[in-house]
Amino acid sequence: MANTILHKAKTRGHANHGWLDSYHSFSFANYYNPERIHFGALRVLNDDTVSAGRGFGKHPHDNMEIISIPLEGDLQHEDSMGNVAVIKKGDIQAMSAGTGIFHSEYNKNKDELVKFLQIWIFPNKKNVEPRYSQVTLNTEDRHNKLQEVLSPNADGKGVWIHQDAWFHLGKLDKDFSTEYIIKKKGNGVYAFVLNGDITIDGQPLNTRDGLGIWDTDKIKIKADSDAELLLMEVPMTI
Amino acid sequence: MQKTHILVVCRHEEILQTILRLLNNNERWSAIGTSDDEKAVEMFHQHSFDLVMLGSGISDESENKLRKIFTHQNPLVKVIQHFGGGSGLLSNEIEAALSNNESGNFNVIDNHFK
Repeated sequence: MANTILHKAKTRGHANHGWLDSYHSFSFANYYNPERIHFGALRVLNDDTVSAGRGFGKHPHDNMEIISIPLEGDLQHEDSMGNVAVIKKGDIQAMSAGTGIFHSEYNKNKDELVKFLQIWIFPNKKNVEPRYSQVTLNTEDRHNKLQEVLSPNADGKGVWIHQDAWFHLGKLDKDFSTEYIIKKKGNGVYAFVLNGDITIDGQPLNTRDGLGIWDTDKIKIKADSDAELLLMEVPMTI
Repeated sequence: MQKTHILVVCRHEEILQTILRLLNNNERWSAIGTSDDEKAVEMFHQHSFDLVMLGSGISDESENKLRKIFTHQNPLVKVIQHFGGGSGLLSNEIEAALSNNESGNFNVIDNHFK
């Protein structure tokens, strides 16, 4: 029988720094909850809103797979590998920090907010060569479908990372239902509702709720309203 | 206030300096560090530490060797891996390691590759 853990949106950690308004599904920075350290290899799920023209200055990372998914606005990326890029809604960015990188992420626009998800996954290999990638996705491919946006495969449909993890995005019409089949035995799925109302394996979820499910080989998904969903399949043992 | 004394070992010199700056900006922590294993052992012999953080670039072989040396000399010292390289998880990792020391609760942050 499947195990589940429910994280209602309002129970997330919250930090408002003025320029950055961030909700933490798992312990991060000054938010520490020993009951919410990680879900398997998923260590960080931050729901960030950055003020116009502001952002995260140059800072380091190592040994972490870092994924950014813009939800609104444009995010300007620069890193120590020489990459300069802008990611916007419909794009997904992945960095393998490996032996160490420095990067900055800024709201490119001076007159609008940028909202994005910042997701950190423990890698399955330490001290890899740092790597940056971004992919523009066709958002039509997630209408009443689960669109693969991340995988461990370099030739996959989205970005790839050093971990046996798969991410899917879905934009579901009210009453649409589907199933998600776990790709690797032993993995779990952390479902995060971007907006709308969705029932997963009988558990009703609302905007920004998270549900972790493991010890199962598939999950049932039903949209109770028009809704958008992010599914993160990750190893439970790391 | 009694400070937590931390030794940081990290191959990436810029990241090491960033971590030391972040740690020493917090009045609860006092940290020194090095990118060199032999220097780390020397520092460990010269000072008393509550916690050792192993950062980027440390091979499994080095990690195992350092853990053995540190815990042999001080069985109470907590040796943890630092992930992320910056401020995001630093405080959490220290909190988890120290609370583990007191309550016996253990989180996978400590050496999760083992």
